[in-house]
Amino acid sequence: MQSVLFTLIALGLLLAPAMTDNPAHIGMLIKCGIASVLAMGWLLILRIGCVSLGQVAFLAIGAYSSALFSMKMGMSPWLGLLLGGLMAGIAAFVLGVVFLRVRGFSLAIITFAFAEIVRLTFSNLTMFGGHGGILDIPSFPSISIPFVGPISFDSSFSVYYIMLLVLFVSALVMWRMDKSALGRTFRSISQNEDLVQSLGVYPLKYKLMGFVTAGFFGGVAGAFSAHYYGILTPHDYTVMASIFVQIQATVGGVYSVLWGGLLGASLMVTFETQLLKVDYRLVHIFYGSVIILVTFFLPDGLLSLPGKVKKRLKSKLEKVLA
Amino acid sequence: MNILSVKKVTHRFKGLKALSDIDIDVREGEILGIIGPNGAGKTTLFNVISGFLKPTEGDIIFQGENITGLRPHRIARKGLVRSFQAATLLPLFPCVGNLLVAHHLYKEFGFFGAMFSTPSCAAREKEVMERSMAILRKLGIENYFMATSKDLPYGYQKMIGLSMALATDPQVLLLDEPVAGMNAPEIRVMSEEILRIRNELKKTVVLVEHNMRMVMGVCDRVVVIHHGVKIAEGTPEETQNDPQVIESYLGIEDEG
Amino acid sequence: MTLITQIILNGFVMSANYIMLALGLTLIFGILRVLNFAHGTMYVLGAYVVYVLTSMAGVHYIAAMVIAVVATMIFGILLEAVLLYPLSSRMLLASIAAILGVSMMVDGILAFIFTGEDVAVESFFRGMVWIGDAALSKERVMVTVCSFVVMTALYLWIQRTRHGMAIRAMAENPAVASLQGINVRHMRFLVMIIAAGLAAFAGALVTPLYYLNPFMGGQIVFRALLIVAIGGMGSINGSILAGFIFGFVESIGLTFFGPLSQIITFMMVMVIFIFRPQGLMGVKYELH
Repeated sequence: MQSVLFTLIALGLLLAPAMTDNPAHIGMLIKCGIASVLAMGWLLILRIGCVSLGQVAFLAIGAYSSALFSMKMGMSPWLGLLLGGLMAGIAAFVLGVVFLRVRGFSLAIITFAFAEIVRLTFSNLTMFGGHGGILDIPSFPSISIPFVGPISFDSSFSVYYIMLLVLFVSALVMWRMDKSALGRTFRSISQNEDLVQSLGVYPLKYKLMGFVTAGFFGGVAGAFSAHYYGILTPHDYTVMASIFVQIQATVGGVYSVLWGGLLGASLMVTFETQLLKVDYRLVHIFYGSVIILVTFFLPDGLLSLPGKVKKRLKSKLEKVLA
Repeated sequence: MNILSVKKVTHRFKGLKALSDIDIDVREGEILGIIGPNGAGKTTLFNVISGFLKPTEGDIIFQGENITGLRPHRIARKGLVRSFQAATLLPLFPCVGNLLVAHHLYKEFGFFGAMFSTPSCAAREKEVMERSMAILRKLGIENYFMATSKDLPYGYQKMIGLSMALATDPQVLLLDEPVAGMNAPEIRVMSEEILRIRNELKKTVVLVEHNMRMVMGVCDRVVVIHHGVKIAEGTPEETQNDPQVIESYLGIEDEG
Repeated sequence: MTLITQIILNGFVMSANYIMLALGLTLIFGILRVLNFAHGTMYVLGAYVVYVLTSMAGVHYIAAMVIAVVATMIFGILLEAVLLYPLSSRMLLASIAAILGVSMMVDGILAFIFTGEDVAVESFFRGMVWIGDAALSKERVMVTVCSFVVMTALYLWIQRTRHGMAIRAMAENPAVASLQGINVRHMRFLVMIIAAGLAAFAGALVTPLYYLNPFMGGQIVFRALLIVAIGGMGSINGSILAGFIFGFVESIGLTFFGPLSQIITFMMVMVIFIFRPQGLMGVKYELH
């Protein structure tokens, strides 16, 4: 069942550029993709029992590193993707080693403080472009594939496939992590950390794994966005942005890192984009009302809906048959 | 042969002396009971031995090696595993899931193995699954292997908790109130299991308990702790008749 | 010498604001067991009510402040009755998410009513006060003095009165507190009223000093959250101490490092957390 769904969605995503002429639609899909990577990372971290309020920090680190290296050192944006991820991953590692021993709520505060430090650093130091940010970031150069010839990435239609690649790789890795024995260990740590320690599990090691993975791919997504949009401002990386990530992920639901992140982020970003066309202030009201509704009616996210419907139908059926 | 020694352990906590100068030697292959009125420091002692607390003074020697201050997972890896009083298992996991996690130490999967599902990792998973199902079969709840563990009757939860500790193949088991909240037949089953762990599996067991009958019936030796101080040690009969022990328990009753 | 005096005075001014917010948050966390993300919104509400009343309705500043405080208290009561109490039995994350949602909605609605940024209210107190060679606007002095008066009153109230003791009992052990005849629901409302009032008061006091922006609540509440966390969740003394530390560190930082000072403040936060993850005076769920 899952593989059928997966294949259908994958096909749909691959063929999307062929189905529309409007670059705005593709732009929105790309936005959804970036948000999905972040949301999946957030859910992965939640699996281990931690709440991170600083996802956008990794986005920012990835974006700025890649932008600066490609502009100041002439590095190819392709390498920039990897570099962005690496820098963010290292930051996640350092942060994690020091702070992941802290218990849940204080950790959330620390991730928020970290995100703010990152943002303030980027917006106050001139070498990072200050408040204005960085402009004229080089976009992806064309690559030559043997036997096929050069492929250029001038239009968003072609850049879309880069994002798809990034999304695919991050989704694969995070999904695999979640479903495997690693994910089992993650969940056991979040449910009873003391118990698993006395069974020989070293919680810090696994927390780091999740954290660094989420950080790495967040960085890659950030690097991508830098080269795609061509400009970078620190105002994109405020705490509100991190909270949006959290809300998107919560809407999708904790049942599945992959699908929850993908669904939640895509849905919310789609609505957000439409609302932005009307009035930017509607976005806050939208996110606010959504999270309230979700909290009251679907605390486990949209993915829990099928399960609940099944249960209801089952009990109704039993009543009818009795 | 002393497999585990607590040497002059003192633990101060916010000005209170939770443990004072405790000296306990555990002989290999014995079942040692630690008893004492509530709040006497027994759980603190367990926390210190298993690495969840670092004692203010003193050492813990396990199999000739000083393990004081080591992290709990390290100590577990060396063969000293403890169970917990409450929260003995992972409540939202299915029964079999609990046991799968417990086998982590027994057959640890590697990062790449798990991520790429290599043949060796898959083989490990299969073996661990078989062992877990076998344990559930022995407990008679094989058909409930996918049931959420918190929905199980309390006695079964504790048995699973014990099995989880056993799955790591430890040398010494520290059991914190293994029969708390159980009824008579459950206590009997648990006592038999503990005896079997010592007799058949040749493991050493140290347990903390309040249920005197169970302690007297199962333990080879008993240590009595009161107000963080060891006040008596010996066979169950000896300590039962020790005047200091009687006074410490009676004293509590008077105050109550 | 002047510089030091100036720094100290500025420190007090900033601390006053922070402590007022932190106290409210700590009370809510300790009693209602929830992180009140709407605290920033209440602050903003207080500020906007004053703005509307004074600029548009010509109401006297002090009267406007009183109305603002009362209005925000009502908002808090609604929040507690409709959202927090029903959700109090659910997981912590649920109530926090709900509060977050409400505050985002209110911010958005406010943004619709008042577009963008507004020039602030005219200063009620004109002129400067001189202490030695250091200058401080009368406005700031009044703000600081009022804040400290209110906080001292609150502190004494919590320590000395029956209701205050009831609140402390609830923070330590809610189950036992209800057994002792403390009406938990009433106390919850009381705490919310106090906290909302504090936030609104802080916001209203500050209107003449800064520009108003409907989205500034977010920044404010996170700053306050940091302070509460550093002080120790649920510790009143901790919040006061942390508020002072924050205020003075920022004052020193701003004088010497300018806008970079914020980074320093945050780094200080992280350092404190490395060495004392439970906060400076933190013990779980205790209100001293």
